[in-house]
Amino acid sequence: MPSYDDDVPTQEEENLLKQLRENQEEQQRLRVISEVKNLVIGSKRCKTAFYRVGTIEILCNLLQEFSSINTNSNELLIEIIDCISSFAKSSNKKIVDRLMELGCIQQLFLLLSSRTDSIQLCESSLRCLRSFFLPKLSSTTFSKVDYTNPFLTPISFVLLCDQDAQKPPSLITQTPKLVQLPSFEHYSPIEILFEIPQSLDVLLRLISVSKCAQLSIVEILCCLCVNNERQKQLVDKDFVPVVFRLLLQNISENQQQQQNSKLCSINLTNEYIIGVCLKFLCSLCHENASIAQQLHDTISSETNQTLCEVVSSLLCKIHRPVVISYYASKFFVNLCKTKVLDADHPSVAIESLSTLIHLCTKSILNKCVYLHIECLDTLIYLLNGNSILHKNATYTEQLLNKLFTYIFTPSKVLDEQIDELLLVQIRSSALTLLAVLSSYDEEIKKRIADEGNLIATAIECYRMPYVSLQLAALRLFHGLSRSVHQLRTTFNDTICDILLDAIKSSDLDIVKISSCVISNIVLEFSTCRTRLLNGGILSILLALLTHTDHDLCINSIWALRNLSYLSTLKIKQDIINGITVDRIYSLLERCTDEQFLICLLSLLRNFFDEKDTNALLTIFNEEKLLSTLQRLREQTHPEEIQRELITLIDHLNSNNNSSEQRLSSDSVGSSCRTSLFPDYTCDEMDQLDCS
Amino acid sequence: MHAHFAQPIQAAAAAAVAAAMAVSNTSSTSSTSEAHVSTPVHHTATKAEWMEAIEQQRLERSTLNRLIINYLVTEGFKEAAEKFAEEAGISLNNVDLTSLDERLRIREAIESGRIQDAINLINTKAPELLDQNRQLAFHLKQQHLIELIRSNLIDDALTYAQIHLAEFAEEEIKMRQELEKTMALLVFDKPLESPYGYLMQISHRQQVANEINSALLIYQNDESESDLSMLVRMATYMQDKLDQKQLRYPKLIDIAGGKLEDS
Repeated sequence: MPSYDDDVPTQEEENLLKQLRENQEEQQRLRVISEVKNLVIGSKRCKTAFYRVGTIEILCNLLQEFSSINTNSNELLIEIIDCISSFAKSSNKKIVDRLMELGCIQQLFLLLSSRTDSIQLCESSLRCLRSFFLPKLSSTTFSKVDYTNPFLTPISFVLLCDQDAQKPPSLITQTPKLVQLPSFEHYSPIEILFEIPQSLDVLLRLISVSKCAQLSIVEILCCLCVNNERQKQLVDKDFVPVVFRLLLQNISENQQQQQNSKLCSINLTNEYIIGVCLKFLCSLCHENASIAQQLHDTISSETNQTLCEVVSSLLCKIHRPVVISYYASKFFVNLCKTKVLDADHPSVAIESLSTLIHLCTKSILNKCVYLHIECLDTLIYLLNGNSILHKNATYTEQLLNKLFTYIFTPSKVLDEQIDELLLVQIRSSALTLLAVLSSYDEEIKKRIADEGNLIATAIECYRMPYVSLQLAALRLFHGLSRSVHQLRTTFNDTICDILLDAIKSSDLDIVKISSCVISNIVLEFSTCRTRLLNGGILSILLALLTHTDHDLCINSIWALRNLSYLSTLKIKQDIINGITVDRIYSLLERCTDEQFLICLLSLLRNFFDEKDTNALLTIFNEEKLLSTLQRLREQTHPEEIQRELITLIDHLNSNNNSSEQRLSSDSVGSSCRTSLFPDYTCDEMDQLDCS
Repeated sequence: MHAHFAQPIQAAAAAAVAAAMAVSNTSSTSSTSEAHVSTPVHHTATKAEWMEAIEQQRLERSTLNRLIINYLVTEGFKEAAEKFAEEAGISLNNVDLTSLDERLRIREAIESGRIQDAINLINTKAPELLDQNRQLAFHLKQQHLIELIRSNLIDDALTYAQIHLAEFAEEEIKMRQELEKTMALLVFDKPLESPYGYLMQISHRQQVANEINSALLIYQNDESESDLSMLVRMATYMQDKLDQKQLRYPKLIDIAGGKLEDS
């Protein structure tokens, strides 16, 4: 906690605040407010100290008082608003909450609706409004704080296991995190703005006031796109054609400015407006397929160009400011992730991908470490699940070499001293991107795993006291675990011990990702299997079967399924005894979770491979098992479950027949195997009847 | 305006020509410099030949004038810009002279040690700047502390540091170190002659003024560096590249004076 947290104003400051409370003539008041403003701006101590003695309440009352007075009090109002704006930028949540409680946002909108005579007053009010929405960056950390739009800040990573090829694909759902409202949203500036009648109409009307107003308004709009509902509300208010027009206008003005050699200075306002318009379009279509399609189909009535054509034209070179290139790329990334564009569309596979890679590897224009991290996170988002782009991304050594640099010597990203927490973020993002790249293609996997010292560094990262770094290291292990070769070579006892530790972690995300890794490395040919079994992995997995987290349950049964593949009779018996036969029957009869059911049936199929069928059937009671499976067959289950059931029933029935007949059921089994694996799975793993 | 403004531009152009000539003269050789590290240094041309080539380069007067105006406007020399524009027949219609005026007043306030006045002016012109840029806010307040020390107002300096600068020292090591150096000035009878005496130099005021000027230009979405400055840096960069390739050429040894090396 900062030392000034308990501070109160000094005597001199107290005298000044006393004058603020007194009712004075306007010029005197103006002087006092100006002095208060000059103390507050740039000082966290003053903000906290003044807040403690009720200065915010006085300012809000003054704002209300002078907003309603029908005189030319614009100068005074601007001073008051600039002062409030400074308080609104505070990273102290209590201050910002208090401003909202006092109805500051509503008052600003009232002012913007009624006082349209002064451009400066309008710009000042919009800047103040914007202060409520934009992230409060502290000087030492770049953190997702307060009321920022989660769709804009580092994109929440969808765990590899959710896109895992080994899981029954039909039941993979998007993590609810992305569309869930943050818990504070019921009292956030975003919620307040949407509750104010005609607030969006006010913003729409003011967008033509000035360039400064345009910047503020579009930045506020970016922050409003917090979920699909809000995105739709903005689209319904026709912000898309307005912003598109703004985009075209500023691109045109920018081109004219650059062609005009008589100008003695270049103003970058047009470029910043282009950047912020692109940012808005990105956040509007983020994880929203229908809006993404709408944007894809949008055509300018003035130039007849499609929006995609206009954005694509901005990708022909790296712009200054580089945010133009970044957000233009991100626009196509969002269209790809919503399936409006295919991953191999040139705007995605060539233009956007190469721009993003360039911005975080070679660009000398990109001097912003935050943007380096954003590019890495956007690449993670794009490449996760789009394996056809992995080869493009690693076509040259440019990206991989840079990622290794980020991980081994992150302080060399830029020629400046970087804060420790930022270094952690860079390393986490780089490790995670490597994890994504290593998750499909065997050659890329090998290239990554063979990089000297990488595995040791990943192990070291897991041991650091940062959850993000631990998760990233585990994700890398997960990506590499999707390879027979890596399971036989890379995974050593140290990694096993780490996983045994991670699966007992109090952090649910760490437990989940480590369970994904374990589900692969318990396979029969893995070098880790014995160490894991000796470390008690069986009892841990059995315990996780009843966990409240659904993903973890699925991971656990999947791991047991893999553990049972080609395993000894003893291990199979241990699994059966751990779950219990009665519970297996109960699950077969009552389980409504289709994903869990597929995994369970697959587990049973692994139990009853040729050599152990007779021994295990006696435990199960063959007749009861067959009749239970037959009853399941008669229910309306999806095709995957039906196929699994057919195979199992056939196999159990053929157990009574000669070995020649049993061979034919094996061929049925192979087609069922394929059905569990989507096209993009690792070929080697596909040849085995496992994950 | 005096002709000496033109020389650095010509010199920068000379470096550009040198680079082009060096590349064209070595392209006829069969290998790159990386493959022949141990070969003798290539002489590209004599100084006379180079100067002749430079003389043949066409430079429009309007380009030079634009560069000069751009420098004066960016650095905030309003009066000089207006006079030069008048003499050169250039229109300043696209230049925001009010904004230029404001930046000039802020620069003058800082360079004359009136830091609090400068802060007030900055907060009027760019009310979000010092909240968005903590380093800038710190440097201004540090300069105010230095002015208090310069005026021998020790008690005021101690109180000011405690109230207004302590929060910065808590946040970042670099700022804490800077503050410690500034506070160390109080220990010396003649702070100007102390190891941290550079803080008391007028040049430090100018440094802060330049920093503020750049920040204000960025804040109002203007280029923070003049084209002339960019050109000079480009010339230096190109000469470094030529040096790395071990090429001999008439090197620009004094950019300000346009002096070339005798070869």
